[in-house]
Amino acid sequence: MMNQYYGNPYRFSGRSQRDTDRGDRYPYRRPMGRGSMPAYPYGGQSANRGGCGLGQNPPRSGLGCGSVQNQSRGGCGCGKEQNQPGNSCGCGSEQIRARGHDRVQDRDTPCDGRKAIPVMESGGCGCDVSGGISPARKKLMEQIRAVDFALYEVILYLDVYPNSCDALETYHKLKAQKEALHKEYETTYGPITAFGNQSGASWDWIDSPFPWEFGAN
Amino acid sequence: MWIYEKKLQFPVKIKNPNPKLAQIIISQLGGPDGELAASMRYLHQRYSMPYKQVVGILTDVGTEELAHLEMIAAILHQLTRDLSEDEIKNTPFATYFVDHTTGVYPVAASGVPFDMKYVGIKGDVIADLHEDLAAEQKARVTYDNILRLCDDPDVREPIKFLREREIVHYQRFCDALRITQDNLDAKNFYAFNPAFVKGDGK
Repeated sequence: MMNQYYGNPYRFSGRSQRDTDRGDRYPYRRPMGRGSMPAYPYGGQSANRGGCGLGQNPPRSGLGCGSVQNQSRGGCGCGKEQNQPGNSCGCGSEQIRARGHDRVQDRDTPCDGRKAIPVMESGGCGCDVSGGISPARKKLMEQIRAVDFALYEVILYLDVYPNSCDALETYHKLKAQKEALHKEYETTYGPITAFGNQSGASWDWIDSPFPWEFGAN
Repeated sequence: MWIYEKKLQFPVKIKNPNPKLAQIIISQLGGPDGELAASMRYLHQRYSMPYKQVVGILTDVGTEELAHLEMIAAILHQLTRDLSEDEIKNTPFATYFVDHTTGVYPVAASGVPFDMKYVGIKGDVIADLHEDLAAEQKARVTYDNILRLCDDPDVREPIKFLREREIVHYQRFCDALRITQDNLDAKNFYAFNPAFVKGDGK
């Protein structure tokens, strides 16, 4: 079925001719230079979507993984607002120093996108153990925890007393607050659920620290 | 189905790793009255419940117990990070370490792995709700015991939160039981099992 909708079915056979074409290889992170929807990993023609960067692999090596797109997310995963240069794609150029890991990736080596992205316990980008996420992020997260908790309490109450008008009113009020807070958090710091991915440019869901890590709380 | 939120219900930030404490707290992960047992119990009991309030409360409390499971796992994960061999040798944690290193594996503090035998699902509304009431109280007692053995304030805070949640769940299940009894024959609660009524289109 070679047509514009399904793409070339032979695209999986053999290596891609462009060695930067990450289309069907892990990780499927394809920051898009043009603000278009990210390419579904198996999606159609990759010609214009090129590998891990802008339309074509940019001539600057070391930043070939799309420096521009992860700016607000801090590819190192500690949630810093500005991205440390050279680490956009999370393959961790300067930042992997936590806990004695000395893997400092050479900046001039182009990211080949095949390296597994390490979980960085201590905030990753050189933050010390007591660091982690920023105070503003922590504060917002505390507010979210408080509202979500109150909402869940109302939910449990309504489960056994579904006819309580007061409880229902409280539920709707808290739900509005929760949605506003979640939206604020997600636009600044990244998704809370897998459905909350805000940035069309990259897959941020696995970028930020997972909640059981020391640096995430 | 379940959606996952990338946040803990209550923050867990433990500055001082302590494998001996981990050995105790792991009972709330894979022990007889732990969060895994609780979530499996509630989420499986709800299928045979005939009353919407009871199905609803079992679903939502079961989901919350999964969240608590994650919190306990977070506590254990943070208690067992950056360990040196000396901190593991000659402690009760060594027997867990040899099989699981610092991975998180649901066992009781005695080392017995989680077992579905801890969970009772009888397919009868009254029996199941009483099982739930008992389970919440047993979980509360386990948390009391953990608090007796734990001095670290970073660990005490999430444990106290979890203990309070068990008490609140107990109260909600009491409500569910009362609603159930209101729906049964007042003269004889056991006249029929509303979870198993033949030919009633259920």
